[in-house]
Amino acid sequence: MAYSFYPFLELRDVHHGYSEAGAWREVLRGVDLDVGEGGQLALVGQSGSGKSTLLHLIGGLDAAKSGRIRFEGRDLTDMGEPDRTLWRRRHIGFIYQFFNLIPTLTVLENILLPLELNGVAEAAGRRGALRLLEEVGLADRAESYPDRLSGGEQQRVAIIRALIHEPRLVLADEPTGNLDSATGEQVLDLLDRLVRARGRTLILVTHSAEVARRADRVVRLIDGRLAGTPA
Amino acid sequence: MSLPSRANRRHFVRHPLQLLLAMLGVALGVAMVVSIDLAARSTHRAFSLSMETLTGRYTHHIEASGGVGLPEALFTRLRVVAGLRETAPAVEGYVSRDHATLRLVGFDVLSERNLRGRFVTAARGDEGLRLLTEPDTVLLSAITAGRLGIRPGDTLEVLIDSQPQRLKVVGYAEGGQPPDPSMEGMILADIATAQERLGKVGWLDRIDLVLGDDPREAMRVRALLPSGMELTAAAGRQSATQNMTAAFELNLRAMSLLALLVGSFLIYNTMAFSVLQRRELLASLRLLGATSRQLLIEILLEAAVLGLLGGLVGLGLGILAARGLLHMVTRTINDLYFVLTVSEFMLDPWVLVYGLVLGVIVAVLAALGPAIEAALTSPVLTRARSGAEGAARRALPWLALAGVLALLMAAGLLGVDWPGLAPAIAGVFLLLLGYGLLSPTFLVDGVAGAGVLARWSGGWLPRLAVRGVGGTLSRSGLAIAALTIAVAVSIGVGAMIESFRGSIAEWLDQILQADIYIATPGSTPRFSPPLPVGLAERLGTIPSVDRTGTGRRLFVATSVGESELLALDPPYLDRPGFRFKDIDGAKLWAAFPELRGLLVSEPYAQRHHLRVGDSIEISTGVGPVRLPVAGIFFDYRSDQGLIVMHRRLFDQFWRDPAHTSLGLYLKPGADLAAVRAELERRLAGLAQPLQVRSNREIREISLETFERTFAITQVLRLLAVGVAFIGIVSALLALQVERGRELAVLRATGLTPAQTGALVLLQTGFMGLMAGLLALPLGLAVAVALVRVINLRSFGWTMDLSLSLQPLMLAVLLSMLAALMAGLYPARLAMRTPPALGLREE
Repeated sequence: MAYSFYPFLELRDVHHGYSEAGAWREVLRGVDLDVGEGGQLALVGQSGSGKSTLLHLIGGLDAAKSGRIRFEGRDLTDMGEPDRTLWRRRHIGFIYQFFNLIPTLTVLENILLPLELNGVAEAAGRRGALRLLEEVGLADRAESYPDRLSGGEQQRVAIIRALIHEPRLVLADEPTGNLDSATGEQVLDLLDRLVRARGRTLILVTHSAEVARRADRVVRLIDGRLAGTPA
Repeated sequence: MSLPSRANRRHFVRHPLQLLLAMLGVALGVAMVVSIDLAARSTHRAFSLSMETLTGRYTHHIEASGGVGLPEALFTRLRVVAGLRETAPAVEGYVSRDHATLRLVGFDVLSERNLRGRFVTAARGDEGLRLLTEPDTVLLSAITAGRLGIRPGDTLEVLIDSQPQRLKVVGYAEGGQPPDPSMEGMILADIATAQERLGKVGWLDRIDLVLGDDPREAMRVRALLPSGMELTAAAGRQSATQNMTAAFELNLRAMSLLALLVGSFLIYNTMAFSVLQRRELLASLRLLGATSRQLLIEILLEAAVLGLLGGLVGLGLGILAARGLLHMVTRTINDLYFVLTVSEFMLDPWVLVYGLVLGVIVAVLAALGPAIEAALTSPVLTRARSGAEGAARRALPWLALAGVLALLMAAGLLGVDWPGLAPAIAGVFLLLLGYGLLSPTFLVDGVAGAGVLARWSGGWLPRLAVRGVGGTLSRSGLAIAALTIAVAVSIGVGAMIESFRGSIAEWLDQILQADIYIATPGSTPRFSPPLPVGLAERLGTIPSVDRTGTGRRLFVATSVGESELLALDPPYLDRPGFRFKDIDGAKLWAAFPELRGLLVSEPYAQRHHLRVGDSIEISTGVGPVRLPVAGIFFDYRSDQGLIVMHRRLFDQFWRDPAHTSLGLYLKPGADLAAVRAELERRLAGLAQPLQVRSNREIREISLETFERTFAITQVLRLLAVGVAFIGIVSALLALQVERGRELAVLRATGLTPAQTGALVLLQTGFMGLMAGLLALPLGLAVAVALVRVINLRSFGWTMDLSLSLQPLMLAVLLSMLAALMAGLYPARLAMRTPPALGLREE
């Protein structure tokens, strides 16, 4: 685990919103949050409370309208879009409710994609990817296309893809939202196991209290503001 | 191949039809450009080769500016008296066989044997000697012989001046050498045989000479020539002839580029849809860290590969089509300019490279918009369909502004008389582009109007259909714009041809005032043998003949280059023989016999930038004479133009009493058939065969030639519409794929398969109707541009714009039918797809 003088992730007075039909709708109204490295944080709240928006800002997918987001002292809000992209592909792993696997790439190719974008030699990546697939019981599906897999299987592939390039921070947006409860449990177990084994930080958005309970810490978003309570 | 590339490539593997249509778009565009270029270059090459063969190593020619040829005695004088040893006489004429025109070339076998100036093998072989010793013997080009199924020893039956003649083929023009494409269409004969067969005994068409580089040599020869004879350099003569077809070829090229423009819409469509369909894929790639730049390059590379593949297919199609077009191009050149036989077509590698590069460039340019859209894909998929529509609608004012700017530029290019044809063609392209950019704005209003109508109709299916088109304007708008442009071009070209036909018919009515015309058969502007002396007087005594009028046609050297001169003696001065431009024609015509000035045709004035009051210097029989231009008349016989003077003025300058055409004006109520019978009787005794044609026959022949000339334009027009049709099929297919989920939801809600199919067809029909209606104003504008600007600047022809309602209505109907046909497959697909599959596939 890397130690640094700066907090791992630091959000200060983050505001964000969207223009809809000419009117401004404020989604985040001054969010302050500190996240230490290595833990698991659950972000909960009702639909439309701004959970996914906050996750996108942390992942550098979007730029906050105002406020500061610092990752190990590096200010994301000062970065332009191209720099955020390069930063994201190196340090972030994403897991989505709808898996977001590339339908035209095989399972193995999907997993290798982040490595390739980061310039890692395919041969080295391939060994690791196959090992991970083996670990999650999908070694025989390496050459299948995503649409041949069940939802649970697709999400397992998405988890491997999010972790394959050893990102510092894993962001998961309702990872079990599209799965039945038994499959959801299995997927969460896997995510928990793989993230903890690598000492990575996980921020997980959910509206399920059950899922949130697995995290080390839970913060609640209400009307665009954090009402955080230690878990 | 990188994984992001692989992911994108496989999108096309999964949607092969889309790939196929995009490739077809490029392929058809490239095929048209390549085929026209190949055909044009082949005719050019054939022309150059045949000129080189005919010219041999001779550097100069002597020709008569009078068109009657040179007296044989001149040759003897030059050779014997002036000591010009390297000279050879030439007689040429055209003969026909089975609608093909062949060139009968008479050469001096003995001179060529010694000089080795040209036809060396033919002159030196044994067959060469047989040409000298046996009557009516000829050598035939081996390629032509093969085509006609004739072998040495056979008899070649041809028509010379409409008279059947038999020539004995004693060998091939190439001798023992391999078949030579440059000799295609050539029949070689000894000069005496050619003179006899072509009715030119005692006359030569040309004397060829070899002169050194020293200009004093040419000056010495010029000094020896009687007036009316010209010495020209061989190279100059060839390029002057070839320049005649420049405007015609440029027009063809513009037409082919238009097809490529329509094709580029097709590529844009395909790329735009493929980007739209891949929004999620692209968003995922962005999410994982692919940069905007990477995606931009990715899509542009994709387009380049598509352009390359489509271009390769296009080259194949183009080569095939070129063979068909070659025939049409040659026929038009034969009808309008000079006789050329081309059967071998040349595969110029540069044309192929040019076609391929053009395909790639157009594909990349067309994909630029979609590529930027892909690069701007947000990693968070916030831009839902409605977002894309909103963005498209916000872009409308900017598109409209760009459209207005393009239209203003078009007006500047078309409205001002810029030199050359290129600005005018660019103007037409800008007109199409500008209107295309404005059309989405018009479309929004059209859709709103149709929406009101659909609400009134009370039917929910039409309402749903109109709303469906309105809701996908960012995509369907493009397909409609492409179809609009194609239909508009079709309307414009159709109106141009119609206007041309109308103007020619009117012009023929004006100039063909006599009831019967008599000329020597096979007369061409270059070779118009004189009619027998006293013929006008002899035929004028036929009781039903009221008056006679004569014409004398010849080529003269002038201060603006060699020109066709027509000396007329019209019998009626109260009926102008021409329609004059900006001048009182009746007054001018009444004063014609006393006029010490020239009347010039509009193309001639246009070509040489002449206005009334300007003057031209003409070399006449009494030396150079400067004459003013007294009037400009509309004339469509050639784009080279001609000058006209009264016979009385002509007689002052030339001691040449001959006529080359005679017109008989009959008394009112005279029986044409009876007069013709009497004519035949009186002409029967003449040694020289003459051609008698009624006013109506000439009119029919002229209009027939006109239809032939425009056959190629019609083909190109159809091809452009064909490309647009494929464009709309592609756009509709992609739209249906995109709307698969929407249709599935409708099906799940209770829409029957038949209703689903009807919905798709209603939408496509509506799109076709909109395209057709939008095409009307643009079509009319294109017609005006073609008739008033392009044709005037290309050929110098002013035409009256004639428009009728029927073709316009037909164009709208055609547009609707094309769109409906294009909708058939998507409709079938929508009907057959189970709703569950549609819902799942999203």
